[in-house]
Amino acid sequence: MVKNPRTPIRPDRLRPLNSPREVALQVDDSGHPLYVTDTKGAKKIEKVLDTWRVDDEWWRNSISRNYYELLMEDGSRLIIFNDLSTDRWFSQSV
Amino acid sequence: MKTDTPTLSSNLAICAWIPLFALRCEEQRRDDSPPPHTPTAVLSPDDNRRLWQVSQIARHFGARSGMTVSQAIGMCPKLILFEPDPVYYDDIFTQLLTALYNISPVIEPIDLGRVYIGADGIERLYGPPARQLRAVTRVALRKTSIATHMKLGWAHGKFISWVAATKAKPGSPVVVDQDSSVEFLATQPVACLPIDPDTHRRLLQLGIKTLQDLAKLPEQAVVTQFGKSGRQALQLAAGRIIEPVRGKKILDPIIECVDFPSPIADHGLLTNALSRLLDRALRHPRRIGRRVQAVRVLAGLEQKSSWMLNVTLKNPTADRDAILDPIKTRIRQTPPAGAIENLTVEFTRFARGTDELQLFARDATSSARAGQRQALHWAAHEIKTRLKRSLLHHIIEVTPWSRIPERRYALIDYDP
Repeated sequence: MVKNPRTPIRPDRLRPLNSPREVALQVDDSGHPLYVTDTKGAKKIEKVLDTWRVDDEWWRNSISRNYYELLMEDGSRLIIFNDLSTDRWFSQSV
Repeated sequence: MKTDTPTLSSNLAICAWIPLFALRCEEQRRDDSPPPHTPTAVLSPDDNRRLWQVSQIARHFGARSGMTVSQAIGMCPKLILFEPDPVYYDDIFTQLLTALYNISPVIEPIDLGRVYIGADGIERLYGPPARQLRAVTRVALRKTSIATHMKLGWAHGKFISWVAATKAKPGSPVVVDQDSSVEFLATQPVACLPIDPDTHRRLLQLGIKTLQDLAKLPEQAVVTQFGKSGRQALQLAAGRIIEPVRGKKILDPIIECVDFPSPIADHGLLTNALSRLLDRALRHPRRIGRRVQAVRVLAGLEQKSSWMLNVTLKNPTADRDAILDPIKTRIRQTPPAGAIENLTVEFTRFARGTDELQLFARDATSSARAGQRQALHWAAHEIKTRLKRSLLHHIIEVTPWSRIPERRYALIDYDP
């Protein structure tokens, strides 16, 4: 991270960082997540490690998300969330 | 004593080890390298009448490290000997270390050919341990082909990762997870502990052959027999302590060099040249306000060989003669093996200056920062000129406290 250079910030020069990336989630009959599919392919979910909900920015475009921290079959960790307003799934670092 | 180099640490460790590093460097650099099953050895840089690193084939014939050349040739008449080139080996090893910084910022080199890499936090970049090790191999092979001989071990703590590396084969790393570390260590021989040969011999005489044998003993009894080092050995054997990898933030060394119009062999001329190089290095703006703790002297010799000294000063100093004296002593002990064509002096480690030095000295850190800013400014300007837009960005905080991750930070064009 670089110290703020005090350069005047213009909105058109700001680019978002850590934007969510859409993924597809497959669940079993009882609703437990099985696979996450992104541009690199499908990965099997070993376990759900943690879940939490975020409700924010009610004063403008309200954001409601259910986050899940997943342990994948290959030992890596992935964080996904379900956007409750659109019912779409995304992956993101937190 | 506080040094000027901040330390990073990691409990998860990858040990990357290339055995017989110098010998591999020699075999790899030559166009006329000997056929695969030829016995080879490198002479010692400190005493070129003795062997240093000896290939497995040569050991099979009875040649050993430390043996004189005449003894070794007597055992193995077909032995091929390489003159040492420590500057070249150091250069290759430094290139390897620089490449490994792309994997992790926590790098702890131990000796030529052996380095620990901190693996805390790299799981998100590279995935599970097997993938991390593949990334290390890939990055190392891009730098030097001798990485084909690299053995890798992954574990919690340096000691277990080192033992894992010794059990690994090139291309087949060993991963020891935390739950199985005690079981893994149990069957390892006591020789893998960081103990002196005398302690090792005494352990064997007492019938303690494996780490499990040692771990079963009462700690008090081991301490009584072997002291503090015994306690540490016991705790390592039992897997009770995890030695973290301790990396150091790399500070650019201060380097001064000279090429001689004709090679010099006279010690007086050498000392005079060293004295002038030390003067120049001590006047460098980045040195101001700091005392020198470690110096390296490198020389390119005739016949394309090299010579190198590493000197760590007992007391960090900014006095030329106090730095020169131990170098002169080491030169008397291990003089260069030929005439010197070029000479380099590097200040590789520093300590904070005394209060008096700080009072009357310019701020070396500010000077270094100003230099870096200037270099960055020109690099950014050149990119913008060539590519018509700036491709460098800052990460800035927007609302770091936000619960929405994409609101916390943003990218902004770097505009110096």
